[in-house]
Amino acid sequence: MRISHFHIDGFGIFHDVSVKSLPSGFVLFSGDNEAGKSTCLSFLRDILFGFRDKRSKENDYPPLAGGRHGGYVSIISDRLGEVVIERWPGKSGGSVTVSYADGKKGTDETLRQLLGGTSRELFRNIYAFSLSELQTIETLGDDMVKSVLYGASAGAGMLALPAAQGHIQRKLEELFKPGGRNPRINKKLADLDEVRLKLREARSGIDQYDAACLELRKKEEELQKLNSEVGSINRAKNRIETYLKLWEDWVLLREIEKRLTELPLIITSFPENAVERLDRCLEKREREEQLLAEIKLERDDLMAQMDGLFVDEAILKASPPIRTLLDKKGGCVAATETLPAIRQKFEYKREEVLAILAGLGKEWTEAKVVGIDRSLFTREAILKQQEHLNRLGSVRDQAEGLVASKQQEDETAQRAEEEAQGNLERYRNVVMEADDETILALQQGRDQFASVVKDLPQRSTEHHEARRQLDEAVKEIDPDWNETDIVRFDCSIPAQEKVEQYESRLTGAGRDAAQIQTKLESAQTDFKNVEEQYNIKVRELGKMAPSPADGRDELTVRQSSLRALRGYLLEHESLAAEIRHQEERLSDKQQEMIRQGKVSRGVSTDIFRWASVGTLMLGLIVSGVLTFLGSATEGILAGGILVVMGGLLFLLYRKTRTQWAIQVASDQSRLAEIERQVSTMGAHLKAMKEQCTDLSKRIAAFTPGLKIPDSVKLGDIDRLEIELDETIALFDRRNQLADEIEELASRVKKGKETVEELLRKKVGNESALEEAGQDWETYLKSTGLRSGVTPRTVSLIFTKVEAIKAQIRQVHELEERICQMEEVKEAYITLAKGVPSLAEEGEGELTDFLSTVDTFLERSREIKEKRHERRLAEQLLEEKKRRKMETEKASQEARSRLDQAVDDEKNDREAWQEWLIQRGLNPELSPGTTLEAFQEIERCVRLVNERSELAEQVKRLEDEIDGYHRWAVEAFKKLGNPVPEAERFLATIDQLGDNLEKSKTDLARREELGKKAHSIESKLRNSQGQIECLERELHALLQAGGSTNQETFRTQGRLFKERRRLLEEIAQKERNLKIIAGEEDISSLKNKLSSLSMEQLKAEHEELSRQFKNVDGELNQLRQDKADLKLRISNLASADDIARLRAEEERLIEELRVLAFEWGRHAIAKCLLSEARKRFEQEQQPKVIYDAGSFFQTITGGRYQKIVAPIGENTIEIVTHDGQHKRPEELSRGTAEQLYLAIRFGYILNYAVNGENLPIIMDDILVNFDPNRANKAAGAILRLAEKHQVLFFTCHPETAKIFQKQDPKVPVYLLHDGKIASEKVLTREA
Amino acid sequence: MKPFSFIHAADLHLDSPFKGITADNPAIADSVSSATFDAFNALIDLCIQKQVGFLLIAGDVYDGADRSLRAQLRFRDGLDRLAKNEIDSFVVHGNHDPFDSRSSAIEWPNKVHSFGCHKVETKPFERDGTPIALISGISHSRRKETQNLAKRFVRETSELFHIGLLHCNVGSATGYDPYAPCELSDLVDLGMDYWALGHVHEKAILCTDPHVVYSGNTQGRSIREDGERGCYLVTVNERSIANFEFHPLDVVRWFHTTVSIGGITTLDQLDNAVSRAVQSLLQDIISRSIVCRIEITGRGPMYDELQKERAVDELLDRTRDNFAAESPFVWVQEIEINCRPEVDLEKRRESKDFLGQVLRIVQETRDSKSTTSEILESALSELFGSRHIQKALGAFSEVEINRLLEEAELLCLNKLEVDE
Repeated sequence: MRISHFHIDGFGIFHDVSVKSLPSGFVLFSGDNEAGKSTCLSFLRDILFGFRDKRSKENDYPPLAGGRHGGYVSIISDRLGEVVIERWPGKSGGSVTVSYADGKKGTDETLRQLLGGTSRELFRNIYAFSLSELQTIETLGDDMVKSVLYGASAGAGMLALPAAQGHIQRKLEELFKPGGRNPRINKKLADLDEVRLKLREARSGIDQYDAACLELRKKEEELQKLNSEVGSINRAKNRIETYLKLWEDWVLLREIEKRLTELPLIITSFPENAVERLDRCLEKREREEQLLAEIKLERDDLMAQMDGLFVDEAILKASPPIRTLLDKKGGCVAATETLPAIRQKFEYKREEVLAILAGLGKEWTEAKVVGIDRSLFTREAILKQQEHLNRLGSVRDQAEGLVASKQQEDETAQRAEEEAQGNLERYRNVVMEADDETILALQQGRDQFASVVKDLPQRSTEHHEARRQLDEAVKEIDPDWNETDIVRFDCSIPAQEKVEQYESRLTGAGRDAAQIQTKLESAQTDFKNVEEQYNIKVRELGKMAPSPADGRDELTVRQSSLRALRGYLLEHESLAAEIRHQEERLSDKQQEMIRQGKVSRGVSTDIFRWASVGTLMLGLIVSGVLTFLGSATEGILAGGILVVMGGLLFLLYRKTRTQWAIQVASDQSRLAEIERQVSTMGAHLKAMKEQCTDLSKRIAAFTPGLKIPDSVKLGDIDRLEIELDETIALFDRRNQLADEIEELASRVKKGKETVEELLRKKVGNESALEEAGQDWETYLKSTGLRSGVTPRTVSLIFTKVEAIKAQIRQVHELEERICQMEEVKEAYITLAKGVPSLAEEGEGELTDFLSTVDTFLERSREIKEKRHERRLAEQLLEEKKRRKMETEKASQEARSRLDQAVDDEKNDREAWQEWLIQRGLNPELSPGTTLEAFQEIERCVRLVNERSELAEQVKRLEDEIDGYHRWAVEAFKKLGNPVPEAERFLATIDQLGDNLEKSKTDLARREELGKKAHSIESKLRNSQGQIECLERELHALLQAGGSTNQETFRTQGRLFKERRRLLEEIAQKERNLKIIAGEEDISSLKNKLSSLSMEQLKAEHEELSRQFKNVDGELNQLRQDKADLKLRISNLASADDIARLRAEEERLIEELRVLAFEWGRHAIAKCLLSEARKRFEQEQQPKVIYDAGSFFQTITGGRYQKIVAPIGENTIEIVTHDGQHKRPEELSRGTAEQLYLAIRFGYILNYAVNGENLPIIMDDILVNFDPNRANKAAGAILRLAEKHQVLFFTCHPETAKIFQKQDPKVPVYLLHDGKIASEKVLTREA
Repeated sequence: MKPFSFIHAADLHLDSPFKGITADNPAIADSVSSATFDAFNALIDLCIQKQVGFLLIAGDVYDGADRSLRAQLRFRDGLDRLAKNEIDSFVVHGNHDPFDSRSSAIEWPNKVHSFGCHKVETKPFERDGTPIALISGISHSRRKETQNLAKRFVRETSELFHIGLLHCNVGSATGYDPYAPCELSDLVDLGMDYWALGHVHEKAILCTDPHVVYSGNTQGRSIREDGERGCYLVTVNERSIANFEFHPLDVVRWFHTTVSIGGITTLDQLDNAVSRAVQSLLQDIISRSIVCRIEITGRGPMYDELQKERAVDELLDRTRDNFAAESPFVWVQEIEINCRPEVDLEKRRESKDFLGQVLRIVQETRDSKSTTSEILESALSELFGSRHIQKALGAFSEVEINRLLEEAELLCLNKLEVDE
């Protein structure tokens, strides 16, 4: 595809500029600054993709030199031929027109097809870019570019890679960090260290236990010793304490014994308790005598009482009448007291009656009052009369009110009738223009007609538009098709399924082909890899040392033999060392034995003996010599000293000789022991040597088999074992290699077969694909579709045809609707013309006609309303007239009822007066007053009755008092007493009663005292007998005590008792002493006590207490220590610290192990992902990146080797010639621009649009390149231009020269002064 | 000779903790911490119940490294109970409780016979003052005894039944530390009537003529020690073994069970399958607590479900809740995910896309040992190379590293397939 020419009508500085016959390939546009290069670039972008929005920050190049904003671009497409795109200002990016060379018009869709769905942004950033787009990587952000750059299509797993790596890294950091504290493994390790530290501390438990047990034993021994000491102190102390305790008794005993000896001896026997018996007897006698005197006194007192009593026999006889008189005395007294009060009440009542009579009137007396008829019937008659008179008054009042109200109503009705009459007069001239039916029809059809008037033009427009769209849609499918073709086109499900079958057949065959191809490539690669591995293994096997002669089993046998031999050798060496050790010990023992022998013999005491003799001799000689020399004093002194020394030495000799004798005996026994040990050791050594020899034989038995000398050492065995291990390893490795080679060979064979099989499949698939294509073409012909249309397009056509069919249905519906509307319109106009005032309308505009009709209808409605109001006024007048007549009649009726009431009231009043007169009452009284008079009469009658009752009561009381007096007088006369005065009458009766009571009491008392006097006499006799008996007893007792009088008897009794008491006390004290002292022999005890004193005992006790306190303190301390130790031992014995800590340690280890495994799993996964990514990036980068890398390598002269897009990251990296990776931002500006240019080239090379290459437009993009790289870039651009049209704008002559130098035929267009012209043309013109 | 019986036990490891259990439930933690003691008490009860003549303990009574006084005292108390029931005990010490790690202050009952570490001692088992059998034994003197102690034994010329009591490693492929190493022939050739051995925690009868027996430990302490644990009751008549039977003593038993996600499509179904698996363990066991590890295997759609954040933890919680009311307790220690997605990894590996590339690198790493070390070493060195972590967890085995690689592969698959 290429731009063949373009025309700028008005765009920036350009106006009416055409550039024609642009060739394919590279075209250079050169011009100075502001010559319009960027304007041209923007013009081409805008025409193809639309003008930019006003809001866009980019320059929209308004026409500065005149003309209409816009122009056209002509493009020659391989598929569509020449297509002209024309764009002028308008909505949504401008109004665009697409037309073919033959003048046919295209649509927006045509333009989209032409540009293959390329977006404006993609075109701007990849195909038509200036320096500013080139300079940033962000411009490569279009999704399409991204996906191909960063390898979104590179397969499963890659998109999830960053998330997976992030997850794994987070997990690893969460688990462990070297030197960290918070990650879980670090925490567990710290916990474990802590537990292990505690465990080390806890393990000292056994040592502590042993030490504590030892100490406990020591304490127990000490305790035992102290306990026995305390026992002896306690015993001594107890003895002293006993003596101290009995000391008081001992002192008392001695005193009692003394008192006994001092007591006089008078008689030896005396009656038992004689003195007490005497005293008791005397006491009894005294008591009896006192009792006798008391009885006599009592008897005298009784007699005196009896003498004081008086009994009146006469009064006793008159007892019944006196009793009756006393009983009735109360009634007389009560009547006397009540009488005055009743008389006073009687007077009150009388006065009240007189007052009432005065109130009723002079003519009223008690008799009249009592005689008048006061019955209930009379009062009832008065009440009825009162009610009747009241009712008649009320009837009369009502009749008067009714008459007044009826007169008022009558006047109101008169006024209403007059008003209605006046109202009716206003509606006399109301008349209709047409009949009601016509008006109703016009009214009902009005809204429908109005909607028709409104909708009809719109529907017509819609119809036209729908028709137009339908035609367009039909043409879109095929320009030759019409509506009938569309209706005929089969869109049924079977037809669609058929196409789907074709599509699936074609795509299936295509996919199979692709898969087969992929598999084939993969299989070929695998085959090569396996073959290479096979060759490597074969070479490796070839390089390996030859296989040993012996078999694997023989080598294993030899290995076990060597191990056994090692055991024997070890044992032999150990035995030899032991023999050497034993020999050394034997030798030591033998030497010790020799030394012992020498000692026994060697050292003797002779030296002391000979030294003493020598010294003595020397002393004598020295003494002799010095004496001889004249120094006798010195000689004697020196000789003396030496003689003394000799003597001392002799003494020493004697002593040493005794000790030496003992030592010799001991040494000889020791020697014998050593000799015995030497002998045992010799025997043991011999046995070991025999064992050693036996071992040597066993070793020798192995050596021939192993082909080694008999003198083999452990070191040799180690070397041999290593050699043997290596040999076995070599053997195993060879075998393993052989196995691997065999397996690889089989894989090579299998791989080869796979490749061949895939090749066969490929051929088969190609023929299937061709056959499916032919069938498809046949189908297309049958449906009337053009050849070359793909099943996918047909699927689209199905959808479109369905849509068009819907459009057709819509158009038909619209037409039908318009027709109906026309009919409605005509009918309505005809109807309206029937009305005279509308007959002339309907010829002009429908809206005017509608408004005239509306005016007519409004007028008709108003007239109709007035007609209705007049009918209402007529009805109202009739109603008012009828109402007036009714009120007149009612007024008359009320007046007649009033007259009747007045008459009734008068008659009734006359009858009442008659009734009063009949009963002798004042005829002027009203019924109310009459009732009140009746109430007063009633009260008067009640008072009269009460007064009569009181008079009767007074009489009854006066009778009672008189009766009592009469009866009392008779009684006094009977008793013979004089009748007392009236004042003392009642008191005399009381005195009589008192005398009667006293005589009765004295009689009873005299009888009682007589009985008592008899009993006292009997007691008196009894007491006198007792006293005589006691006298006799007393006499007998004195006789028994050998005394004649009481005094002597008492003295003898006291002495006898004292003696006996002292003897008893002595026996008691002796018993006490025996018990306290715990001794049986009292005389021995008495002797011991006699030899002691209190002071002595106390001093001894004090000393023993002090000793006891000291020992007891120690004892307590020991007991406490022992208890502490026992507790400590018990605690140590039961401590479960170790178990708990070990369990904790094991738990932590287990948790740590789980976490470490978790970490390990993630760490390996991290490494695997990293390794896979490295390889993937190295081996399977997208082709875009690969090609971009090649460009970049070319442009930078090999300084940069390639570009890589790290998997899963939206970025790219550049690999330098020395393998370093760099990010784009790390590059210089120029190099970065070269990189981005290379990436664009990579994309452009790999992604053709619908199989066509879009033209490329570049605006001075080489300015930041150094000359060398600019040259290389230019070369690359020229190579790109072999397949793409490249329009290159520049303002630098050097840039132009670079291109021209590489290709002198480069066509050049010059931009100058708002014009663009070919250099050739200009040259020609010049 | 009078018939008699004895019990052979070893590796009590009293008061040593369970490995790899994280239960924070106090009841479970208490049961677990007292499990070794409870098993020991069961041993003592069995001796008394069966009225055996004596008890043999072949080393590792407790972990000497722990120096747990409580363990030693409880051990003393247990043997004291035997002594009061007129039952003798013969004890040698192993690498975990070498002779010098004992407390000097503990007094042992008179019927307890401990063997020293300097020479093989022979002690008679007597009944009413008459020797019935002889027991020879030697204790380890240090934690790493490398000498062949078996060779120091000598068969007495007596006609009595003679037992060798030793804590040792017979052969070299037991999977245990090579302390007191010896060969089976060393033991067989000595002519003993019974070898009561300790050190290997799995019960094993190495030979029946004479009997060379590892009784195994009395209580499993980690998932590696699953299945029943206990002691051997041996009855001897006329110098030959008349009866020989195993008695389980463990109070908490470890299990490892698998559940396949094949055919499972919902979480409910998975919950049920897991619960059924645990339930089946309960059917085979009576009056014992259970600690189990469930391994989810197979291939199916539930794989993706289990890859979700906290999905496995929630499954674990639900399963634990299901069995929370069990008594004795059932504790699901871990649910290990060892299942695979439905994706055909081998086919996916062939794809040319990024994921295919990742999977191919995994395969290469798996195939080529040199690359394995390179990629894995660089990946893991930061943590696994740290001395601190090595001190805490020790080195990771090749199997574990390969497992990590496999899980990393699935992690990549899971994370990269999000947008497919």
